[in-house]
Amino acid sequence: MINTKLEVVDAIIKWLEDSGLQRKNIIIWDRFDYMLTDAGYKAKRFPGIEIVGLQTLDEAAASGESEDNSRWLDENGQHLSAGNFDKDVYYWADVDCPQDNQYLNQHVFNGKESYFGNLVTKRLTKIINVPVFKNTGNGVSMATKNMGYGVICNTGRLHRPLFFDVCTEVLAFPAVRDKMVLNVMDGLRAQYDGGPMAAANFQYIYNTLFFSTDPIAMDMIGHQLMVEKRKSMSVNVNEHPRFTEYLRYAERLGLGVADPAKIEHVVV
Amino acid sequence: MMKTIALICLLLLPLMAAGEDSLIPGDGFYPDWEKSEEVLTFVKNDLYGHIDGGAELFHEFGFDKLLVQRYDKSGTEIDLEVYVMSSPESALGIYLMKCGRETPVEGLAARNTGSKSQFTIVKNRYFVLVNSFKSDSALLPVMKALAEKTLALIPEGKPVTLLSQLPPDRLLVGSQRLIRGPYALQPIFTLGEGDILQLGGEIFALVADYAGGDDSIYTRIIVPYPDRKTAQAAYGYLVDNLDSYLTVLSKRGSGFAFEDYRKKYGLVSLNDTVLDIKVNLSARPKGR
Repeated sequence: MINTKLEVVDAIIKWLEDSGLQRKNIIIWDRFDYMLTDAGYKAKRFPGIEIVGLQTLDEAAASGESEDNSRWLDENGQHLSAGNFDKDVYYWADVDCPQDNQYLNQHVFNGKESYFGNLVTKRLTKIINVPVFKNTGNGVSMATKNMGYGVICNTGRLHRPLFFDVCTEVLAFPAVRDKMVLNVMDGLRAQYDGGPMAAANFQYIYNTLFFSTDPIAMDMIGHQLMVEKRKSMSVNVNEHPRFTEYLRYAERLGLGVADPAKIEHVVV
Repeated sequence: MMKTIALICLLLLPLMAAGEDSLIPGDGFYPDWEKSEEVLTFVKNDLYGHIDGGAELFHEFGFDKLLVQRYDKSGTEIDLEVYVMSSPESALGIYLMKCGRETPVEGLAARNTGSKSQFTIVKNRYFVLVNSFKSDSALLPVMKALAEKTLALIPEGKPVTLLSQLPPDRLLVGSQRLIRGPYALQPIFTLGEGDILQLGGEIFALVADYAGGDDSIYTRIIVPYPDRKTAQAAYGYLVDNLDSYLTVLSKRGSGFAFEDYRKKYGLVSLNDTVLDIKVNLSARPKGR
């Protein structure tokens, strides 16, 4: 796995506590519960902090190892996590998805709506986005992808036709736009190729943390640094503007700043 | 006759299934190392359940099945991923996309690259990963033993000769790639939207970097189409749908030169059934 280091989250929690926030009011969350567990985000490791996965996924059923669907499907044929999503707030895209159990298990719904998690729309008041410095093909999987694909369900259908659009447009929803106040990108161990899946051969110790209130500026700077790194490692790099167009689109929507000339990148 | 065919099919099915199961080494491939859980199997589109956002490339090259087996010794884990691709060319294609700068593990009986965190291997129509999450050098012998056992279970395949169609003169060793559609082409160059070369998930194109005359490096994409009609249709499609960031400088017969968004140049020519594309040229092609 290449996930946000526990120690980075420790530091953020300490900073929040030092600023007067009580632990009971802090939630560590991600889209999938098992990914949190696999990465080490467990109650014992973070006492007093609530840890929430927006949805569950039964890996055994998804892989075909088990034909028992009871760990993710209820008697009415609904995903057990269906209630965790807000039916009033959704990203709609005219894109179909497979109508099978494997897809439903992983994505909770299989219509044209990708619902936002209740946690995001109803409980959270502020969001600190903590992505990892890694690539996804020619692009980056950093601040915008972490949030764009982290807050909604039913995303499998969106990767192919709308990958970058989702990264931008989901961030335009008030539930994210008005709540996400800070982005802290974990570049302690980074990955320059093979992403977004973990590819240990392409991981390296970068020992860098990035801070920005603007996820768009963060991704643009991250993209430029990623291109430099990929070139230095003799990885094929396609610098076509299409791979950053979603950031300029975000700037046009008023979500942040994408023009490198307008971004102040301070190295401490 | 029909009965004979049916009988042969029935006999083959269990054999094929047994063959795939037997690709996974059992307990004790190295002293005290055992399987920590049942093998996970991802067939066709189930791969999206294993890879978050990278499955498209496997499907484009031709993906049949993935077997994932985790092994454990006293809480330390390594895992084995065996991707069953549709052909040796498909497996080599995905390997070349994933291997990066190759650093082969000595003694492994297949093309590979490895480090203390991951071995990446291709043999026959199988693309194999051995992952160590601790990235601990002490686990290298365990990883190597697992790779050797796995390779011993994979039958030899026919050698892939596709790449020999790339002209060898000034070719930069290690830069060869195969592409079979837009996802594999994406990191190379953007010529247009979608399946711009009309590979259709069937035709393999060949890619490599070459040394230019002025210490520059350019990239060459060669597409051997199965017949002249297909080649001409693909060339026409490329001309009609060329990326809007590319400016055509000149057209001559079945070919054209262009300038890209970085003020670099490209040259496209169709010779009988072969489309030959050069991109990232540092100078405008002579006479174009």
